[in-house]
This record gives sequence, structure tokens and C-alpha cells, in this order.
Amino acid sequence: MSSKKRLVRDLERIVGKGMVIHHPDDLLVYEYDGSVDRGLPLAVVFPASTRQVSQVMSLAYKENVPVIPRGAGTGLSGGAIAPEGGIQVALTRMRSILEVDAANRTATVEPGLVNMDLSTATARLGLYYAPDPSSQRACTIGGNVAENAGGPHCLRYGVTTNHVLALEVVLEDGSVTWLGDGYRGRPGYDLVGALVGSEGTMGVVTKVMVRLLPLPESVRTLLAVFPEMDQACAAVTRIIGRGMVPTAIEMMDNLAIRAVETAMKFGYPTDAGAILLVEVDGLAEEVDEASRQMDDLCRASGATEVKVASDALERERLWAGRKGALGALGVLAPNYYLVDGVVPRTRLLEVLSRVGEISAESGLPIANVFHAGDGNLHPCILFDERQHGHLSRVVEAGGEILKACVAVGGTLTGEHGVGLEKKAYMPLVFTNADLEAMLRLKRAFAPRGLLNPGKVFHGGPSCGEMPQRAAVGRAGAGAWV
Amino acid sequence: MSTTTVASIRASLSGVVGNSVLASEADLHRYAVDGLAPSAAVFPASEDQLSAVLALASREGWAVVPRGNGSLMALGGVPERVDVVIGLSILPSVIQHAPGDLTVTVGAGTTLAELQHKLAQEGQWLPLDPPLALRRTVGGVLATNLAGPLSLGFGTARDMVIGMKVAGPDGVITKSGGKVVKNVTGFDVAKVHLGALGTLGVIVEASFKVAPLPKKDVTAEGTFPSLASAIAAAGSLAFGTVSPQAIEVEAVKDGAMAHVRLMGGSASMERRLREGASVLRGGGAEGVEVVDGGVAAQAWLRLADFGWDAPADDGLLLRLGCLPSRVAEMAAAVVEMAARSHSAMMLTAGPGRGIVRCYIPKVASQQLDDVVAMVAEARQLAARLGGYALVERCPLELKRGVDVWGDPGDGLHLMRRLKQQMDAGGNLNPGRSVGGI
Repeated sequence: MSSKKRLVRDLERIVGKGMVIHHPDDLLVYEYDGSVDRGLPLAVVFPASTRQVSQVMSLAYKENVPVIPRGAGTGLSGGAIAPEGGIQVALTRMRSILEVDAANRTATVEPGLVNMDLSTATARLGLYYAPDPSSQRACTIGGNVAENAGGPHCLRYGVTTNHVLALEVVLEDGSVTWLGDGYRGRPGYDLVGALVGSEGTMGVVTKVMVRLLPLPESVRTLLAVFPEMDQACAAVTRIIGRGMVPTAIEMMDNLAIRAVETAMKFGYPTDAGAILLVEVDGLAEEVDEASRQMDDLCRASGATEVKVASDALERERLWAGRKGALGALGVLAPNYYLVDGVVPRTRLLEVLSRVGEISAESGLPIANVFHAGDGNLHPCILFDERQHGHLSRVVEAGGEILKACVAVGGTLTGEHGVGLEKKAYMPLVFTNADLEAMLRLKRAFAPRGLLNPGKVFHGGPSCGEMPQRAAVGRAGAGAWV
Repeated sequence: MSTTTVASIRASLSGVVGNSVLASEADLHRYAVDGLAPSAAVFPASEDQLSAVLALASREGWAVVPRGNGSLMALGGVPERVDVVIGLSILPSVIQHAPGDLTVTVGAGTTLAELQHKLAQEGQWLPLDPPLALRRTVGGVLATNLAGPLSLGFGTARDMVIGMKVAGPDGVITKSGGKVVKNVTGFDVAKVHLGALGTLGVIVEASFKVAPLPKKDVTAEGTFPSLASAIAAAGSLAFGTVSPQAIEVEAVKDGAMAHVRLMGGSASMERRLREGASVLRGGGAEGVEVVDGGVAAQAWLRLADFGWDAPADDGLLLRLGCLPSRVAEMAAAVVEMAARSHSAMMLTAGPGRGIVRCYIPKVASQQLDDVVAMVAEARQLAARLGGYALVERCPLELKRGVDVWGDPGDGLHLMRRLKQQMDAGGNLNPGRSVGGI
């Protein structure tokens, strides 16, 4: 019996016969995620319990085979891909809400639970889970933990790491450990904080205890149209400068507006330089006051039109263009390459102008749809992969954008993760010593490095080179940013 | 420590950083940790000097104890060894504040008071209120990571730190995170240094998300006939419309006082106050008074400093953590425990954040056995209710007989592995963290 056959048989003994995928044709689906790096796993297993995950990990440890944890596969940096083969552990069957403790506002869930399903389930208790990555209808809480996912509303409420209280983790050797326990401030090193955002390299999370927030009494959304991008940026600066922290401040540039208008017909003026979407929530009086002030600040900054929505349906309409923007870019070009750089928010305009120059120099259109409030840019470089030579220009332009972000004190990724996609750029931000300190943290959890190998750190002889291939997405429905 | 060791360590350090940053031999007793005087106390004036000192210590195998302003040196286990105390208070106090970005980067030796003063000039602040905040360095605050009452409304240091520079045991300075508010580039190494008491590295600099100063800051003080009614009433406010930024219930003679702090915009303040006061009254408050300004600020400083404001380490300060819903039960059990041991006790409870703190001033030698038993009982109580009991401060005699940290939970073996990875020589503050790390 070949070693692969034996491994598959052993895996089937753990999770059951139908719960292991190993035929090359079936594996193709698991070759990629939301990025388009590729890597074919040896097999994909679908465990149903912590015990099964632990047994799979023990087996892999014994056989010295890499393990790649996988949620919904919506990740944008290649975190769920198996570049070195190995066993993909798909956690999508483990999707129960194990406990909701309304009195203490916590929930304990399995990692395969879809992000949105948690808020839906807790709404009747007046509670919700705050981190809301744009893929929240599909992405899983486990994946969110691995990537320390953000989302539009993180401006005020923080990202995943601010909401995770405790984790049950299966370590590389198959042992099961609880990290944290929900009592804030227990003495000892903050291992939960270390594990969130470790991109599946330190352990497989099998239970997650999260903090829930009370649903706000009142929510209001403003959509402001600006003739010029610099006016929209000035409005952001003014809002923050006034000491206001809205729950979200999102921006779309002219190219994105045109794409959305062509695809969805919301009546956006196609000559607008930028659209700003601002949301505030909280107590009714505060929301009234804040939305009035923001309306004024937007107009004072040059907004020609400000729409305000307070009921859920109207708000949904204002958000629809923003949420569908990435998909809408499909009307402009068949492919996009999505960048996730972050800059200090006062440097937004400067970096956006540089992005415009990079677009002109490369001859590639670049649309911007992004989280302006926290300086998290999402330039989408548009192209057609069938055209010869486009891809290398795209990669180069993406690299230039990241360099521009770093040059003003920013960084490579705000919420998508490093994964395969950005590991070669890490030396732009970190020294070898910095990276070594991060590796030490990883080695404490996974000394053999069998978990999600080849991610985050750029090892090997090609160290320092820029990536030769881009994470290229196909624009269209089902694409989020 | 023998005179020869003192002389030779001093001579080696002097060769690296010169004499001017070394404490005189006569002053060494001032830098003693749990009665152990170091062979040298050095105050690096730059990051380079700090690196040089650490590199030398690592080559020589000296045990190094980082120190801010020395306010909370009593926290932690009795050190295994103390060779060199490294004082970080004279590192250049650089504050890079970017008001438009709501971020600040600050050297570890800067005091929190200095930082807050600078931020306030632009209408911002860092919503942290650890014990003795006014006199402590930022590095010390992060390395000890004892959250104050405001953590109910604003979270703890882990929610505010966006980047950190740390000197490793070999003196190599590394950074993680950055100066932007949203960042997943590389691993979040800063997290493990919070509360690690310098056992994994010496914090050199930190970057924070900061917040706009609240437009209104008022406190409702409710007087209650019993601790239980105060905790129930004040606790019920935590998650509703009133959503206070801090709640502390203090045991006072014949009852309790609930301090409820409301920070935020002026538009909703009237309603929050009205509703808050009405819930407190409905829950049995005999009177509700609203205070603000200096009076309120003083009260909150006192509550934050609880147990640490007494000058001598002769009292027992316990911090018990539990689920917010069980604070009343925890507090009642602690009161009963203290009554049984006939100890005069002060108590304050944070029903929203799940913390009960109790302080027994001046534990006499003959009381030691009773108090050791009380700590053990508190641990059992914590285990029963699900939680932890930390001895923040106690007389040295007592400290030698108890594990001040208690059970760090399931992850201790990983913590040991982390220590091994980050300080293989075991020279950084040996023995003072959980499990004797």
C-alpha cells in the first residue's frame, strides 16, 4: 500500500469514510481560497469534534505531514492553501453555537460557524458579535481568529483580537489546551492574544469564546457625494479631528463609483470624485447629534449631496453599493488584484495620489474601495490576465503601492493577512531580528513547524525577492472586500 | 551578594556604559526586590546603553530585573536571583503624538502622567487607570498590566497597544505591530509582553490607539445599606442604556457605596444619569449624589490605587477575578472569610468587569497563618466560582509561603515553552512570573 493510501485509510478511520477527500479531481476545489495562489493538498478531512481534530493532528505529527487548517476558504492572502501538500483540516462541519451566556455577554462557538450566523442567533437577546468582515455571510469565526479579521465596523469596536476571550486549541502534537477562560485579567502570558492572527501556524482552534455587544439603540448611515477625492479625505480628517469616532467610515473613488453605477444603478453621479459612507450608532440623542454634525462637516468639506438613512432597509440600500463594489468591478475588467495596505489616516490623500500615479505609470486602472476611517486602503488593480505581460505589471504596481504605504509609516496588511501573498514584502517592514522574535513565538506553540508551513515568513534561497505571481481574483458576484 | 561580586559587576558595567549611570553602592538597598539587593543598579540613558547592558548581562549570566519608577516592585513572586536592576526611568522621554491619526508612540520610561498631559493638549487621552497611575512609567504600567476601573468601558492595555519595541535578553531590540490602528502584518508579539513583568523582554517603546477626551465625565454615587444590594443595582447598569465607563462598589461602614462613572457626549448624559440614578434608587440606594471635577477624580484615583496607596508592603492585597454575574457571590464569600479570620478588611468590587479586590492592612506576624489560610481559601473559592485569585501585594514573610499568582490555567506548559524560546538563559527577572517562570 502506498504511503498516501495508508494515510487516507488512517484518516478515514478517524473521521469516517465519506469525510476524507483524496481523489485528485475532488481535491481541485481545495487547491485555492479567496486569493489565487494554488497548492494541492494530499487530502482534505472534515472532522466533527475536537477529539477527531486531535486524532488527525496526532496522526500527522507521527507521520510528519503538514496540516493546513481551513474555514470557508474566503481568505485573501492564501492562508488556507497547501503550498507544500499535507492534510487540509476543513472545520466547516464544526459549526455549533455551544453556549450563549447573556448575563456575561459571551458566546462559545465552534470554529466553522459562519460569522453572520452568530449575530443572527443572538439578536433575540439584544446582542451581536461586532467584527464584521465583508465576507461575513460566508467566512467562519475560526478563520476570523486565524487572520485577526477586521471589517468596516472595526473603526469603533476593534478587530477580532479585541473580542476573543478564550480558545480551545489543538496543538501540533495533537494535545488539546484551553487558552484563557473568559475571566479577564487572569495572570500569565496572553497566549490568546498571541494566537489570534497567527494565520493557522500555531494551533487549530476548536472552540472560541467571544465577547458579545448589546445591539445599539439607534443607528444612522450617511452617504456623502464629493466632486473631488481630496474633499472626501478632508471630511474624514475633520470628523476624526472633532473627537468623533463613528462606527464606520468607508470610501469609494470615481472608478469604483462608475463600476457600481454601471452594474447596480443606484443613481450615483458618475462624475463624483468620491463617495463617503459614514455610520454612527449608540444612544438616540448622541446619534442625532453626531449625524447632524457629520452632515455639516461633509458639506463644509465640499459634499454636494448627503443622504441620511436611519431605518434598517434604507441603511441597507446605502450600504449595498459599497458592499457590492468589488463584484461590480467585473464590469470594468475580468480580473483584479487586491491590495490591503494601511497608512496613518492623515496620509490618506498623499498615498491615494501616489496610487493614481502608479496607475498612470503602469497603464493599469486602479479602483479604490476602502476603510478610510482607519486608513486601511484597498486599491484594486484591474486587468485582463489573458493579455500578455499584464500580470507582471500588476505585481509590480501592487508592490509599488505597498512601498508607498510603508514609506509614510504604514504597513502591508490591515486585515487580509500575510499568508503566501505578502511574505516576500515582510522585509519592507521588519528586520530579520523582528521576524526571528515572531518565529520564537511560533516555535513555542509549534516547534516542528508542521502547521500551515510556508506562510507569513519568507524562508529559502529566494529570500528578499518580490513575488513572481500575484494573488489574482476574478471579479464578480461573491467577491468581497 | 559578596563585596567582590558587587565590585566586579560594577566594574564590568562601568566598562560598558560608564560610571555616571550606575547607582552608588550605598544606594543599592533602595533597589532591593523582596529584600534581595542587587549587585548593581544601572540607568541606561539610551537604547544603545540598554542593549549593551543586556548583552553584557546575558554573556555573564546575570539575573536582570527591569524597573520603571519602582512603584509596583512588590508585584510578582520572590525572585530567584537579583544581580542587576535596570532602571528605565531616564531613557529619553520621547512622545510622538499624531492627533489626527489618534495614535501615539512613547518611550517606556515616560510617565503615564506626562503622556496624558501631552495628549490632553490635543483633547485626547489614553483611557488607562492602573494603580498609582500618576507616578508610574508607561513601561511599568504595561509590564504589570493591572487593569483599573475604566477597563469596563475601554478595555485593557491589550486593546490599546498597536505596536511595541522590546529588548531581548541579549540586548537585541525588535519591534512588532506598528503605528497604524489596524494591522495584521506579522504576529502580535506585543501581547505576550503585557503583564509579563519583563520576563520575556524589556519593553522599550509602545504605540497606542488613543481616544478623544469625553465631553462629559460625571459620577453618580449611591449609598446602600448592604454590599449585596449595591453590587446588584450597580451591576445591572453595566450593559444597558446607562453603560457606565466604570463601576466600583466600595464596602463602607454599615453598607456600601456604588461609584458609577459616566463618560461621553453631552446629548445623552441627562438621560443616562436620570436612568442610572433611578435604577440605583430602585435597587435600594438611600441616596444618590452626582459629583464631577476634582472631587470625582480624587475618588477614582483612590479606587484605582486601592491597596497600593499604603506606603509599606505590610498588608495583603488580593484581586479575585470571576464572571461578572458572580461578583456578588464572590464579594460575600470574601467578607465572610475575613470576618472568620477577624481581620479588618477593605473591599471594592467591580461588578461589570468581574473583579473583587480586598485589602487587609498591616498583617501582623502572628496573623500570618490565618492569612495564608485565607489566601488558600480564596483560591478554592475562585476555583469553585470559576476564576482566579492573585496576591497583588503582601508582606515578604507571607510571600515566601504562597504562590502569589495562583493557577495560571491550562496554558502553563506553553508559557514555559515561550519563556524557553524568548529567554533561554532564564536571566530576565527569574522567578517572578506565573508558575515560577
